[in-house]
Amino acid sequence: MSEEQDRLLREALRGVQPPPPDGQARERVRAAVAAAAAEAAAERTAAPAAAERPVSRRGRLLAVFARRRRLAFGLAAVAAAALVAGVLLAGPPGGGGPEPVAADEILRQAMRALSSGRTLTAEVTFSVRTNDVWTNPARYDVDHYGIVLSADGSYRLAGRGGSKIGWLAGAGSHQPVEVVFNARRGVLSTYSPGQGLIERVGYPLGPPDRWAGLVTEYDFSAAGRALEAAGATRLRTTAYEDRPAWAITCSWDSGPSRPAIDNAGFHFEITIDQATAFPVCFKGFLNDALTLEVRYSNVRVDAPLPDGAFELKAPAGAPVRRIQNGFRRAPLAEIASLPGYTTLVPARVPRGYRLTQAASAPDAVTANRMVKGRKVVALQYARGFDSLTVTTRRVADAWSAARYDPLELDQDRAYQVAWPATIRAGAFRGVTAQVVVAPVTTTPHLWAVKDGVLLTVAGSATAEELLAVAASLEPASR
Amino acid sequence: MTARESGPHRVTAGEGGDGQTVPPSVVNAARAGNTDAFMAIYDAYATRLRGLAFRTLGDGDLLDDALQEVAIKAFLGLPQFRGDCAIGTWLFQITYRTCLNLQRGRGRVVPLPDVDLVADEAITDPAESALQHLELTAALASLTAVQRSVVFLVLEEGLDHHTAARILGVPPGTIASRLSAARAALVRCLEDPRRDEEM
Repeated sequence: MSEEQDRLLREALRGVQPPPPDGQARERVRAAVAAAAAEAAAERTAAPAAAERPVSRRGRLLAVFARRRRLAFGLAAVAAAALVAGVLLAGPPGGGGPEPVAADEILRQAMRALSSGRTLTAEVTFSVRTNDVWTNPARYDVDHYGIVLSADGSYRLAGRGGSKIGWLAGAGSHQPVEVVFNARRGVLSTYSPGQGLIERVGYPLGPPDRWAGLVTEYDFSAAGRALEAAGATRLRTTAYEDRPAWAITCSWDSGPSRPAIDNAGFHFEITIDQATAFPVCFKGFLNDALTLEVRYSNVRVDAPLPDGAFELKAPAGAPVRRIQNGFRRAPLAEIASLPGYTTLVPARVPRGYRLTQAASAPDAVTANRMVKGRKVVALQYARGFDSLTVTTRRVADAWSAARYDPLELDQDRAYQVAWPATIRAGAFRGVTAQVVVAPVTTTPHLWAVKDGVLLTVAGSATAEELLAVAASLEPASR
Repeated sequence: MTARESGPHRVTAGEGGDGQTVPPSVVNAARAGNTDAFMAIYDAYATRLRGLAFRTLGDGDLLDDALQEVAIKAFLGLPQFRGDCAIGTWLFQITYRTCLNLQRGRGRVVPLPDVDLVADEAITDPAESALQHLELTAALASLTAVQRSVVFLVLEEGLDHHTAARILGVPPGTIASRLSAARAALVRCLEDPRRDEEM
């Protein structure tokens, strides 16, 4: 096709233009925008409690914002991942310090450490920029909280004062709050003086189910995988609180084998203390402006946890509410015998993973809040702090289920990072899956639709491993 | 990045259809909920958004409804606009997806001009450009919504494949293949309409 032909085509296309807008079109648009502005303002004023908030258009938009905050948590958790690696690399604090190693080797070590970690505790200071990077002076929200994490997926967050950021703030704005997830019982509990105790029972096993996305801040292993996939890492010397340190910088390296992301100017930096090899700080930048910072202190890895570390009881007299999220945990054989459910089990999972839980739900909404599925089956595999969740569900709108990333509230971002791949074998043989492994999203995953069944595989794994899991799916024996 | 997306305020601003630039202060005011500021942005891009909507929908039936929905979505979504692309790219994304959904909602009905009518008019109309117009309309209607959108973004708007891919939510390679197919269908309209009769 010659440029001359393109020019002629452009000229010809100028003759096939849209009809002009009628005289009132702009005024109608203006009125519609004004009405939307008024509606949004009214919703902000009369917002019900977070736990019972209906999913309105405005609510979805707010959720997008919340997800970005959660993304920040997820990315911050990468620092924790590297921190674990630092412990293994350097041995106990106070030693002679490690030999310098390459940035990608640090990340690989982190991934290996996460695969064998058992517990993690730390005090965290978390700062998120609240105004745009082009507006000066910069403003930040700052939270202080303690975290306790167990390899079975349980965790505890304890706010050290008023919380403004993400999940902590969602449970009770600007009030001290505690959040505890007991993975074995499948119960997520939050407590704040303002809202009392809220228990979500039947909590989903993992992504893409709606509420599971609320805790992606603890999906740090998966976030680490995504950063590992970024490919562009470099190491430099720096200082952290007057001590020599290493800084690992990760940014997306677009290339022939990677989706193109217009992510210019966005990068992350992990700081590691040279004397102890402890990662001590995580920063995110946009156009060289600091957008978030996480500082860790009092870090302990694999220390014993007290009894009841993942139980949360309300003070006497505090209101208690219970919300059913619908996921019933049961043995796999029992779930496989449920009539009408599509129970597909992977014959292959990445090395070290083992099945830890299976659950079913009559219906559930995916994290993107766009697809309601029925007869949901979720299988969760674990390997240290790593987890991998395989789900299937029947969907009425297969077109939307195939098109929209079930894990992403922000479809603009999802469109950029998903790439197609054919599932070569198994129950989904021949189906094109969309694969997402990128530093702009916290959980590597894929999704595919066949015969009205939506499949997702999400968790700490490479793209090749995700596809291998998908290609090994076969119906569970009853 | 295209010339249209470059510039000192690429993060927050873009160039409107008539060449004017949307200042960051206007974008920021719109983000804060100022409807006048938002309408200034909308006005700057209205012609180009209308062009994309027309191509994606395939006709003008739902054009005004679509653009009204685009405006509402953009206004409500602006606080979440991260500024990691030109605002025009972002508005194109919203327009494309909105129109795709609308088109899907009406059962992918894309009116195809009656082939016989085209032929009859071709015989009676001595103006070759009129014939070409009809044939081009028919050829456009025969394309998919994505192909028409690629034609608009790449051929008519001059965007590069990466930007077009971002707007349409497909890999850049898909842009090339869809553009190639669309070109092949459309370029026939540039050929001598009487050629077949002469052969």
